[in-house]
Amino acid sequence: MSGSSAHDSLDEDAPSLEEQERKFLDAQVDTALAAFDSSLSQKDLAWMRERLLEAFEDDPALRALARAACPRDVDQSGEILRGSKRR
Amino acid sequence: MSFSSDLDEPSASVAAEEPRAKHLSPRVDQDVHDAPTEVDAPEREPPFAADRPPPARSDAMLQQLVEQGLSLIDPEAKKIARQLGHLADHDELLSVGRGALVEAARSFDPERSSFGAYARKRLRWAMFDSIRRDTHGRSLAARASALHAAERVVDAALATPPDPTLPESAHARRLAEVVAAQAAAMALGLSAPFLGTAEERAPEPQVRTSAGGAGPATPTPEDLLMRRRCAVALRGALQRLPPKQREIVESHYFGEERFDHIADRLGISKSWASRLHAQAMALLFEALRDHH
Repeated sequence: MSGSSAHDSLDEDAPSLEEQERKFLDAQVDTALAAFDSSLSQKDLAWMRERLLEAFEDDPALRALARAACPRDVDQSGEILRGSKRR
Repeated sequence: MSFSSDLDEPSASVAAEEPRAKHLSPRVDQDVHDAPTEVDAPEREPPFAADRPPPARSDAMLQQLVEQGLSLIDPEAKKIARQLGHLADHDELLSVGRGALVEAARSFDPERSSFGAYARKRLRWAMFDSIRRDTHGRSLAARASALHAAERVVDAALATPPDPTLPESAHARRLAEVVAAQAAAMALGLSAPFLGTAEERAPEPQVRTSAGGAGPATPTPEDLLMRRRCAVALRGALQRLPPKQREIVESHYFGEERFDHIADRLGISKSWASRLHAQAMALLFEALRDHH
């Protein structure tokens, strides 16, 4: 899959997904494809997986969504680690 | 191979005219003026979704746009051939692409997108549609249908960039929903052509690569059996869709009716039909997941 989707004003030359984002996306795709584990062959599932991940590399709209959805590290998000109340 | 001037096109109008709608489900669009509400029928088309007529453009401007887009045709044809397992005819794709480019130049609206992005999508969708209609074997057509279906979902679902004020968890939910709908669309595209008994269908040609081996898109008997099972399961799950969504999916994937014809028949815009299609894919995914 390819081509930019609806919000075409996004920069098509925006940097590709980072390692952390790619791993997060891999997990999302695997979760979705698991629903078809018993109804499609491994060959078809592998082809779908490849195409889905490729779409995220190609499409700036999908890339932006994956980037926004990927959990940040604590030092990036600004969250403060607090001690557990249960001691 | 012919190219029809009113092949379905990307639904950029929804993106431009529905800036605050953020989800596949119509029920979460309630903050959008004129959008469906809990009271309205979820499938009712809002006024903003209507297709707009293409802008008037002089021959010189058309020519300029066509020249601008010519360099896109070959890379997209090569890319589609690769994605389909190098089984599509490159020259045929080029021919379809040239026709589609002219149509893209005619219908392009600069207020909605860049010409490059719009033309690329039009080229790809015309190539997919051509492969589906002038099939060289069901497997190739099925893969083209799968890719087309997934791109249609993305086009309709990602109307606006992610809202930076929303938390990661909201984007994560949305991402999961979009990926699920894409997967359901691909599964449907891959499997729907294989519904029916072997006797009802033409034999699948054995496609071979230039190296002489079985082409990567050539399905094994096991692949075919599973695709048929998947089609049966998905068709059964259609019963859980609202009537208009069910009609769109049934007619397009199992009846092989063109998307724009379905929209005309239902009296809705192509943009809204695409939106309903995306919602249907999300619901189908849920139905299939629940089933398992």
